[in-house]
Amino acid sequence: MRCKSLATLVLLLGAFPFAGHQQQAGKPEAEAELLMRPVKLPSSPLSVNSAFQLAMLSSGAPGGEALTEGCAEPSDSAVRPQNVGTLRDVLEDIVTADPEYRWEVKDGVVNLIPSQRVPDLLTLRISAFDTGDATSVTTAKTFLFGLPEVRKRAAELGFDQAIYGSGLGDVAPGAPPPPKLNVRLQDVTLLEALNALVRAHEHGLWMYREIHCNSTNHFDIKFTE
Amino acid sequence: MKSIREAKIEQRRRRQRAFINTLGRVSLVAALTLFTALPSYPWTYYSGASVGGDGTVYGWGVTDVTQSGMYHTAYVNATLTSPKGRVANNGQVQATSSVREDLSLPFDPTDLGNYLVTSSHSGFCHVCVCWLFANCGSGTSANDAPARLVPYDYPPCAPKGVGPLQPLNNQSVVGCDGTVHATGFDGVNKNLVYQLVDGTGAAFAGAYTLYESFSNFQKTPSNSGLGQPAATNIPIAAGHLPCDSQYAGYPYPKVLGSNEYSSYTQSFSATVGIINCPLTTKVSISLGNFNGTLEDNVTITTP
Repeated sequence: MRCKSLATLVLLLGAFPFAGHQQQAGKPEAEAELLMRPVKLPSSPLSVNSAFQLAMLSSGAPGGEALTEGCAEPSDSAVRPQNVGTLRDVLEDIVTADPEYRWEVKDGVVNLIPSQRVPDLLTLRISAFDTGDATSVTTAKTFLFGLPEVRKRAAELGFDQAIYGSGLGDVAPGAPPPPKLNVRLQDVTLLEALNALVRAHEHGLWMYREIHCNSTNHFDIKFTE
Repeated sequence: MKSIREAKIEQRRRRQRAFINTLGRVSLVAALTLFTALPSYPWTYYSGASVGGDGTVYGWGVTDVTQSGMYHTAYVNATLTSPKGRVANNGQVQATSSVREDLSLPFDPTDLGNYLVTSSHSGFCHVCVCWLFANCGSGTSANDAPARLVPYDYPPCAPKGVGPLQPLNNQSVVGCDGTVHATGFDGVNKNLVYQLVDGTGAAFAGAYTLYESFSNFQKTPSNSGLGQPAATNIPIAAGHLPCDSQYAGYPYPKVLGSNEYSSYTQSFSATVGIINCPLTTKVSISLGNFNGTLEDNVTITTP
């Protein structure tokens, strides 16, 4: 009997999240399934950014990451993930390789965020947001970050507001336009709004990046659908 | 059912399918060389197509890595594409030792001709805890692997792959896929469309994940807000084309300074399953305001 109790205890402990991440209240079974999804990655070392992106794309789970950079370019070989395993395995590999990040699951969306605190801009509360005519989450993101309250808060936080980038995407010649997203949100944080967009899309991920280097204070955000 | 595979599948497309198979076979030889105490086993990877009595076209891919006493997982990802671009693809499937993925496209009298089956195959050994496949280009013919991106004629957005210079004043940055990258934007943009090809120059027909990274970043003046774009992975579906927008500016009414610009080099790799293929294409970009003139200079090098 005692052995059985010990075994049960071990099983229960195994079911709890490890240090370095939090599993938020929601649908525990669905989130457990999500974390158990198999992930295949190339065998070469990866940056934190690329390891997370590839893991999410491979698993098909919706996600988002908030990365912060200083003057030094992030290592492109920080993570040496097992090239087969579950999504949870890769997330653990990432936070083990770089303890400045932690992962969590919120309502079916996997987030990789700084372990100390969520970037200030992402905590901004939005009174209302409607994706309008947007048919892609990238376009919806553009509308979201174009809200006057977001631009105002970004200016208050000292971001340079430069808009630059590489808008990589894919075109399907001759394909009909996709349907509108039709996402309407009220009283949510910017991070919750981003999660709502990928949750509505059922896959893909958002990538928020802050750069603080000398006089440079910059943020940008991309989506992979 | 009557087999049409031999007669209908184009030879150069078969080479792409064979690329993955070849990798597996080459790796198998390497593995058997390393583990000489082990007997050899007939691992097989193949795909095929046939047409049913009602005109339905069937395609399949099979991976068999059965080995007595070993615990292997077999993976296959097959895609069936019609001449007009109808696609059947269920993503990657897996099973212990052996797996088969079956696809079909219903008969369409307006969609006759060469139907294409592409497939990727891989096997994982849970004893050595390793993939039985190598990375791109390690001991196989590079001709069949994804090799480079080439500009793709996509008028009117990107004729010959490169769109016109777009000086934007309180306008939106819109890519060739219709994605809005910025609104109320003041600056410059240029749209691009590419096609992934193999070493022979033939289009790579399967799905893949495209990775872009950046280097050699410079900016003027040194305190400009312009920066190096972030590295990104993006999945490209079978039959789709990668597109890009290179833009730099500010939210209106702020504008680029009279001599504010940046430059950098964009590089790519393509991942097919677990096989990562560095691409030889390099894109040199310099964009911004050059002495009062808005420019977005894109030089694509495809050695």
